[in-house]
Amino acid sequence: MIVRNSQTSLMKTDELQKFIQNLSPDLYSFAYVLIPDDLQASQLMIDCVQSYLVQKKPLIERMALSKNKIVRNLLDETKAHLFKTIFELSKKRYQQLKMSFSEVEQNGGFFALELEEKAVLYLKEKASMDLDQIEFITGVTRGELLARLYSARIKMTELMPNQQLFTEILPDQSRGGVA
Amino acid sequence: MSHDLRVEPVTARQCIHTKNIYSLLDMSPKDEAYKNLSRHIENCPVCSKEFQKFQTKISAAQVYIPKAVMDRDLRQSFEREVSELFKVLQLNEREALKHKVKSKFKTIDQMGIEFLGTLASKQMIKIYVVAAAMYAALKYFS
Repeated sequence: MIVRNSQTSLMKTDELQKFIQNLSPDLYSFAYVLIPDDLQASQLMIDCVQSYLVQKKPLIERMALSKNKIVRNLLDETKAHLFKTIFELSKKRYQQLKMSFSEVEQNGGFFALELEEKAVLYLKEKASMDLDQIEFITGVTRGELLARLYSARIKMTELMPNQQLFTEILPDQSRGGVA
Repeated sequence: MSHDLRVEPVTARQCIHTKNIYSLLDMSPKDEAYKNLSRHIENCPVCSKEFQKFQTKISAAQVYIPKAVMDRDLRQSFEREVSELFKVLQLNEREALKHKVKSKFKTIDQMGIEFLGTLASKQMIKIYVVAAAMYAALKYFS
């Protein structure tokens, strides 16, 4: 019975481990948006997983000994928690590493946005998350979130490098700026 | 915004509601404000034109939001690190399992001791004596 329990618990943590490993493309993409350096971004991911495991250790230990429903719930929450941890860690590191990112700021103006603006715009447009999830990850209120999304969008359109793109798309409308 | 937004005459070049239309992209279609604003855009050529322009710009800008791809080496290295972190965690998990098994055995032991205690209690001894007396009486009179 003990052997069976042990195998079941190992299977459950294996499931969580595989789930986190499979999230690596999404985590990396988000980490890179916040800290645009491949090595720093991957280090951020590792630190975020470590921090998550430390924070959720009691829950994971309980998960290993509990019913499948709790395991399912934990897996569902894991992605959002990992994104949240990446965002929190990157906020602390961003100021220290900022000087080394100056070269990447030429990417269509996106990297010139504020850290929070980059995060919300990426999560909304590329990660296709809903506003509730973004609120949880960034820890801001709905009003602040909408304001950040708005300002990020306006800045993106202003900072886009190829302004003639608009004149090609909308020859008669390109004269009017964004209010 | 509980009532319909007023539509300016078709000839107007500006509309006081234009500044609000940009928030439409992030509103929930269930919101009352969303319904009012989208109804207004349908009827107001100024806002409709401005909103179309904004949407075109936003979709063009989406190309510039990066989605970085992790290379194979980084991915493998990440997977190794995660595996290492879990190995450390599993030690603690085995400890938790041991603890749980031990506590189960303790409960069983406790129940056994309590059962023996009950069997040897004063009340039970009285019952044994009464039962033995009844048995002896029955044997004697039968």
